[in-house]
Order: sequence, then structure tokens, then C-alpha cells
Amino acid sequence: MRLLDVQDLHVEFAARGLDNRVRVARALNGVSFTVDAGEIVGLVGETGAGKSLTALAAMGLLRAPARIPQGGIRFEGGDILAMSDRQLEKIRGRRMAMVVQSPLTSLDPLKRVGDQLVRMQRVHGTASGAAARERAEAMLAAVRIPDPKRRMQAWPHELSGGMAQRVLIAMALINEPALVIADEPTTGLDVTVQAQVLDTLRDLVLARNLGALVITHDLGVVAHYCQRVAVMFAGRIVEDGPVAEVFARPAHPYTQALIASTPGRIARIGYTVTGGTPPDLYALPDGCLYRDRCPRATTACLAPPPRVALDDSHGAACHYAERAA
Amino acid sequence: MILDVQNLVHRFPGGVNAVNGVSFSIAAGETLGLVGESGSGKSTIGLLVTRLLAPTGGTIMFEGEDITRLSPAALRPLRARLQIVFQDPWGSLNPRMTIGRLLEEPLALHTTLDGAARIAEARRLADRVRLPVASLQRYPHELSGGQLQRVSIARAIANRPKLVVLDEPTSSLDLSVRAGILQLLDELQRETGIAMLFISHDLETVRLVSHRVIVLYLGRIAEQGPAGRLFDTPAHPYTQTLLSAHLPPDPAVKLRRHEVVGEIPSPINLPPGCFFAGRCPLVLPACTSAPPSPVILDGGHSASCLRIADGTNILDPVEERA
Repeated sequence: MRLLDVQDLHVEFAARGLDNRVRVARALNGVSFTVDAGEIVGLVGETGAGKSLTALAAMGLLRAPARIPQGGIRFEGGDILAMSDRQLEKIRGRRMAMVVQSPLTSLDPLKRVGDQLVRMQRVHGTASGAAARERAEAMLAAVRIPDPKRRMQAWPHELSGGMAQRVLIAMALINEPALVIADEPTTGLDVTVQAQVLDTLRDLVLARNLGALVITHDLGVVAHYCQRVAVMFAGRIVEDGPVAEVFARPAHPYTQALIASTPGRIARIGYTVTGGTPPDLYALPDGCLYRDRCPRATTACLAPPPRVALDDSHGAACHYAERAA
Repeated sequence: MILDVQNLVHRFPGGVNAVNGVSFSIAAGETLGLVGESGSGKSTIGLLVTRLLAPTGGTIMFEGEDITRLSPAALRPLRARLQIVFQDPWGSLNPRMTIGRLLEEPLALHTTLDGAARIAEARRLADRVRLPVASLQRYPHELSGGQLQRVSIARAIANRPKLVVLDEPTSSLDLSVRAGILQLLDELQRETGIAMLFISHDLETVRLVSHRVIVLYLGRIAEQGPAGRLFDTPAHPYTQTLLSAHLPPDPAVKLRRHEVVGEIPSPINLPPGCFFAGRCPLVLPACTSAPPSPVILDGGHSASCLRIADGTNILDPVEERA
């Protein structure tokens, strides 16, 4: 059984325009991936690709006007889409937890750090009283916050961005969840702080045999902290596989373009990629969604591309994946 | 020299020492990269050299003219030749003006062109930065971030400036869009010999676009030099730490990390000696008494560290893994 198993997930939004016509934005168009215990999976893509939406769906956090017309999400064998709010509340923060991008707005500004960590445990009934305080302090030490006893008394506004992000990781892990979803966990942090926070997150995830889904637009984070990667474009996974394999032999033209857009690559081979706008989610074409930007597109691309398996763990949704790889 | 800055100092109200004695110059056709983390003073320097802020101390010479204390009125004619592009194109373009009018505005301010000539010139500018002609009729909210940044660049180059300050011009853009903007800047510099001050926290991008690079720490220059030399053989322990924390987008590159403890000191209470001394694994007693002077290395490369004198300035990597 997979820890998290997302299959063929579709998410759409219906919105009434100024002309009173209802139009449907197809934000996710068949997303499939899995996360197992003991692995860190990177979900990478550009703005609007659907990364965060995928995370919200996996946490059972989507509400109207979002609709899930098709697809399945299983977490520890349970069907997330069939669960009631009460059932989900028992899982979220307990079995699966989330670390978001803006730590300072995710902490309660009117509660001391220690009290917030204690509350997380009390709500889920994992510990209370002195035991909860003790565990909170140990958790702060585990995320490498110096002087944890004193930091228990700190207010969120007294923390730097890096410290606040460590506190959020501590809050996510305090109830010993099986899965952590980290949405851009270090975006906005300085590079030296980013490395420290990612080290902490990775070490804890691997030491406790958790599964982690790390959502990022930063290929460097994927390259050095994830074992597997799924590349998203326009609400689809266009390529997935082991990190070393995907970077060494990218098979989808979009993955190739992303890698060719990194400054180090430009320095070696020059400017080869012209970026484009993602397709209009209100009027998605049939077939391959990347074809308008793709240098290799042919009439075959008017049909939806299947996931072509390049080996037993690496695949790309491109009619020409095998030839390209 | 297009720009020559000597001993620049800026203290914000409340005693925040943002810039603490910075000197550099930029020649025509050159891109100088300014890197540093939050609080390093890099954006403040951008505002000072374009005189959007008046410095507390030091001198700023632009094309041989001392602009350190010029009044806003005296600065106005100069602005045609001294431009800045900001990180956030959504926030820096008037949402109520069409792209066409946004491009005509700098021409109306600094040229004697009549209406028809301005429209023609705005079209030429749009074409130069590869904006579709149809976008001239549109409003900023109808364009993507990459297209808006092209508008900002077109406005900046409208009056053929000598220097453009680019403050994180690609940081809010997606990777593939970013490459297009960098390519455009590269072309513009080759065509017109424009000098650029490129401010960014993104080490890879700075290395790609800059001829020379300055590494700032707490408003002071830790190290400077030709981009290749500085990135390949960093001499200051802070530069070594900064570069080693960078995550290259390639899993085949092994990380060689230098762990550093603590965080950047408060700019309100500056330490007396080297600003990095409190976090430096190689700190000597002398480091905390007086700020170190720059030590000249090969090929225009210099770094301010006492350890360079006897060659003990190189940190040992503390971990190596994929």
C-alpha cells in the first residue's frame, strides 16, 4: 500500500463572468503520483501549473467552487475524497501535516511558540500538560532551534524567517505524522538559511521514515533534497522519475526547456529557450497541452500523449519521449 | 567611468546602518553584479546611486558630475540617462495607463517629440523588447509578469540611458521567462554599451550576467572581483559560505558545504571589527577589534579578511553529499 496515492486527479473551477456566462477553468487535468514512506518526492513546475492545488487536494482542503470531477486520492489506504470533514480533521495535523511558504503569517501572532506547539498536541489528543511541553521543547531542539527552553516563551514576531520556518516544521512534525507536504518551504529565505532549513527537514523525514512531498519551483531544491521528482505543466504531470535520471536524461520537451533555462546551462550553451505563456485553463486544447511551445510538435500531438515508460521508474507524457531521451 | 561611488554611507531613521562605506565604479558596457542576503544593503545602494534616496555620506559621480547632493529639480534632466528597473513589475507600472501610454511617458518627460512621433517611438520600443504590438492597447493587468518586465525595461531604455540599475529584475519570474529577460538585457548592452548594476540574491544569475561582482555583507564589501574568479576561488569566508549554500540545479554536482552558525547581526548595533567575525569559523582575536582592509589578490580580485595574509582563509567543507 502506498502512503499517498493520487490517481488521474482532475480539479476544475466554475466561474460566472461579467457576461453572466459560466466558464470552467480546468486547473488539474489528470495528475497521478505516489509518495512512499522514507522518500522525498519533489513536485516542480512554474506558476499556475497546479502544484499547490495538488497539495490542497491531497490534504482534503478543496472547497467549492473547486470541483473534483474525476480521480482518486488515497492516504494510508483511506479514500480522502470520500471522507467527512470530521474524519479529515482527525487526519490533518495528525497523520499528514503541511509546511507552507509564509511562516510568519501561519503562526498565531497572539500565542507564544510553546503554547502553539502544545495546542497542536492537545487538539489531537497526543499529549497534554507537562508531557506536551516537554515534547514541544524536544521538537524545537530537533529542528535545531538554539536554546529551545527560552524559545518556548518567544512570540512569533520575535523570530527571524528561518527560525519561524523551523517552528512550522516543528508544528508539522510534533504529532508524528506519516506524511509531510511542504509547499515552497524555503522560498523567500536567504540561501544560507534555506540550506539549513532543508537539511533539518530532510534529516527528520529520513530519520523518522516519513514520506514527504516538497513543492517547489526551484530545481536546485529538487536536485539536492528529493529522491524522485514529478514535473508539472498546465495541471498535468509531464515527466516523473528518479531525480538523477530525470536531470541526466530529461525526456519531455518541457523538462528539457526548464533545465536549459538554468543560468549555468545558459553560460555553457547560450540562450536556447524562449519562454511562453501557459495555455488558457478556460479553453484548453485537446491533445498535448505543451504543443504550442514545443519545438518538436507534429500533428501526432493533437492527440493526448500517453505516459511513455522509459524504464521501470522514469516516464514522460510525450509522443516522442523515447526518441528524445 | 559612467558611475563612480566613493565611501557611500546610508543610515535610515532609527539608526539602521544600511550602507557602511562602499566604493565601486562601473564602466560603459559593463555589468556589475551586487549580491548579498537580506539586509546586506544591496537595494539601498540601488536607490542611492539613482538618487531616489539621498545618502548620509560619501560621493556619487555620474558621468563625471557629482550628483551626491543634487536637488530633485536638478536631478530631473539627468534621469533620462540614469534609470532603474524594480523587481515587481505589477507594483511599478500605473495600472490605469495602457502599455502604449506607459511607453510614451518617459518620452514626453525627456524629449521634444510630438504626439505622433511618440506613438511611433513607443511602437519601436515595444518591438525592441519583443512585446506584441497589440499589447500597446492593453492595461498592465492583461499582461503576464514577463511581458510587464519587458515594459519596465522598455521604459528604462526609452531615452538611451548610460546606466540602468536592475534590482532583482527576474526574481519574481518563472525560470523559462527569466531566461528571455536576461537574453534581452544582454542584447541591449551589446547594442548600446549601456552600463548595468545588477542587484540580486540569485548567485547563478549574477554569475551569468556580470563582468564583475561585489559581495556585500551588512552594507560593507566583503569581496569583489571578476565574476569567474570570484565564483571559482572565493577568498572571504563569508563568500565561501554563501557560495557553498547555493544549490546548483544539477544533482550530479556534489555539494561542499561550509556550515555557518547564527544569523546576520543587527544593523542598529554594528560590531566594531569585521561584520562576519561573530559567525566566522576562522575568527581571530584581531578580527573583532577593527574592520579589515581589502587585500588585493590576482586580477582585480580583492577581499577584506585578515586570514588572507598568511593563506589560512580557506574553510574546510564540513560535509559532502549528493
